[in-house]
Amino acid sequence: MSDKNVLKTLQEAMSSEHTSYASTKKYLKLLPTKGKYVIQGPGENAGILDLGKGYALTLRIESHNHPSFINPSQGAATGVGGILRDIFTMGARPIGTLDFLRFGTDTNSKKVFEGVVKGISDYGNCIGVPTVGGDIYFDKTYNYNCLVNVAAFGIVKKKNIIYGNAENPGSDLIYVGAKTGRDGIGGAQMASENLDKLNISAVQDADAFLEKLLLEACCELAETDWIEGMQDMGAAGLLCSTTEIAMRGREKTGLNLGTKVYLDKIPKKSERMGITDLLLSESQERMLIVGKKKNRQEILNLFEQWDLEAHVIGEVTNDGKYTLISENKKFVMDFDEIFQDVDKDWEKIKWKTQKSKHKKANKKQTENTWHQYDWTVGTRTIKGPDKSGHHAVVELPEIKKNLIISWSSDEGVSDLSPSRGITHAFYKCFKRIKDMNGIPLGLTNCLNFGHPKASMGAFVETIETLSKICRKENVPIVSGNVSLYNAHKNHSIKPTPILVMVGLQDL
Amino acid sequence: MIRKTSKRKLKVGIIRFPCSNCDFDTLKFFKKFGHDAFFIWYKESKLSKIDLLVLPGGFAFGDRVYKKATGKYVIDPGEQAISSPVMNVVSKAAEKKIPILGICNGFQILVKAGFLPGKLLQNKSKKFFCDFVSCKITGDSFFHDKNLIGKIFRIPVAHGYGRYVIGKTELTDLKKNNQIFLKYQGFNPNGSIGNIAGVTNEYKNIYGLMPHPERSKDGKYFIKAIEKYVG
Repeated sequence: MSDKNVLKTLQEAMSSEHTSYASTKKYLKLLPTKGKYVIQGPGENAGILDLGKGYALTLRIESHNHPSFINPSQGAATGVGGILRDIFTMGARPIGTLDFLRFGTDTNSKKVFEGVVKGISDYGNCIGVPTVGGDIYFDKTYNYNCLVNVAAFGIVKKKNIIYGNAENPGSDLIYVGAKTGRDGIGGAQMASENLDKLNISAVQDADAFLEKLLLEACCELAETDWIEGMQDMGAAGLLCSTTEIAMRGREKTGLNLGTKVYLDKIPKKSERMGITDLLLSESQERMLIVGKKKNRQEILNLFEQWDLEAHVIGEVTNDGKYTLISENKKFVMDFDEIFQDVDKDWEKIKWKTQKSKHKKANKKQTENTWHQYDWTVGTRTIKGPDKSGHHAVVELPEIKKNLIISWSSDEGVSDLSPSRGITHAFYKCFKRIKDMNGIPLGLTNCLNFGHPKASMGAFVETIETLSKICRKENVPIVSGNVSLYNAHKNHSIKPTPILVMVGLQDL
Repeated sequence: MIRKTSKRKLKVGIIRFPCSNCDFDTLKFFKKFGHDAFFIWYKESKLSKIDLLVLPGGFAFGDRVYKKATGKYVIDPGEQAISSPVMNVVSKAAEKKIPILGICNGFQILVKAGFLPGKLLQNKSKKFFCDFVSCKITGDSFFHDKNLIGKIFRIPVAHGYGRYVIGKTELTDLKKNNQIFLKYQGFNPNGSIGNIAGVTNEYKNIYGLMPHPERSKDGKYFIKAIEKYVG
């Protein structure tokens, strides 16, 4: 492949909606992201809120809608895996997850529902993070696009927080975890298109056991001062992680940092993978560590102790370039060549009401679901899914307080009025924390919409209203996810925003 | 949490397999009651000086066994764990009659390795199940604590492979020897024969149960029984 073609493929990958937020970033800027408790807002692996007494909470929600529809069990499982990596990448130990599920009303949707629950159950239970809540709704609007949103929370000592950046030229890039294979190539692009064609090879395989080893190793690494950054390999895998750590590092340090990756050193599980295959594979359970060179052996030993394969695959440079080196070739690129400022404009058409029935799962369906999730592991769950209510209470003995997690979607209201829908969701979360005498700290949100052609009007209305209320009530948004293209042919799903708010309760 | 100052601090070794996800819960549990609890990594093969050996819950090795020929795996909880070096520690402890406790996955491993009778198969529903269940102390009780016999506790279970099965004659023996120390009461979450939730060995120093006392408010009763027996 010529230099030009490599660059072109990388540009395409980084400009997909899923990675570039091309259609939405100008609106997302409206949201308030700063506040008294905010340590880290959007733009990192997860948001971070100050819990006091030297501790912090990391939180994030993500969608895994497209993969879950194509391969319900694996798709949902990798969703759980991905969001948990976002948490422990920052050095935090995950202490709970929530699952928000939306399915259609046809026969196929029943199968998807079963598969999704099995996937979440197999993965979450094995890794030992309790599912403390969530909700399930059925609506014809989701017949061809199920929604699987997973929120996760973690606790970390403030001094142990790890960011996804490089800091010093000469530091090691260490690859740890699963080998790179062909699974999930094109996953980010898939999530940026309508779900008309089913591309099963773009869904990754999930491995909860491997993830658990990574989790423990990363939590141990967070206690050391051997590393300067960590980044998981999610969408657009190795490419995204090896460039992101340099970009964030450049911003943070002001240095002309770059990264150099030796492609031959990447552990591979498939034969004859080309350069772009290697860089774009979305094989799960892989992490990139920016390690201090002098601590290389200690870091590799720690991974070995956890039976994990780790390799130094490159280094941080001071040439400001992104360099790929394979056996006989060298590609040198500028970061702004790969990350072009993509911006897509859509007409803000008024949302066309669908009026289909939006039904909450009944008691039996709900109970049958949470019975399959371990919600008591970790011994922190004070109020789990066993008692009704759209909130959970998780014990934080570290700071002698309780964490209240409240959540709500628009509950179908956005179909009639996106503005009223998001207002409804916000106040359901907000009032629950207030009613329990909690102090709201911040929000994470997942905005699930259809094709931008039909949904951009509703999206903008949602963001504008959310932004206004968050400012009014002084609740910042610290992380989140936008999922567009939840559409099939000409049908877009109803706007489905999901909000998760956290608050602290004195004991 | 109320402790008598005279109480002996027990040395509690907690075996940690890769993916023993109740490792920290179990450690915290024993520490909360003032005991000296520490991890024993699965690669360890020497028995150190301990008063109690615990195999915690979780998914040791992801519950998997890899087939050498194909590289594919099958789910068989405990199967991979029993060929770990640390099983030598368990054997030594069993020989020396040191008390051993297996919780959930720990119970599965003890059964798999033959330290406890019977088998633990996939739940009758074929699904993982987690909730609080009522359990009654029966037989010769938990670590011989006669005060507990007949008491009912609400304890969480969280497992996919907790259906206890055993041959007819062996079951008769278990009953005769009072080896069934815990039974599900009212609701059986996995289809275990005779509502069995926990059994002990013939000598009654090795105990295995599916429910998680470390997750229960009633955990203190279990700790007290251990303290009495060991101390």
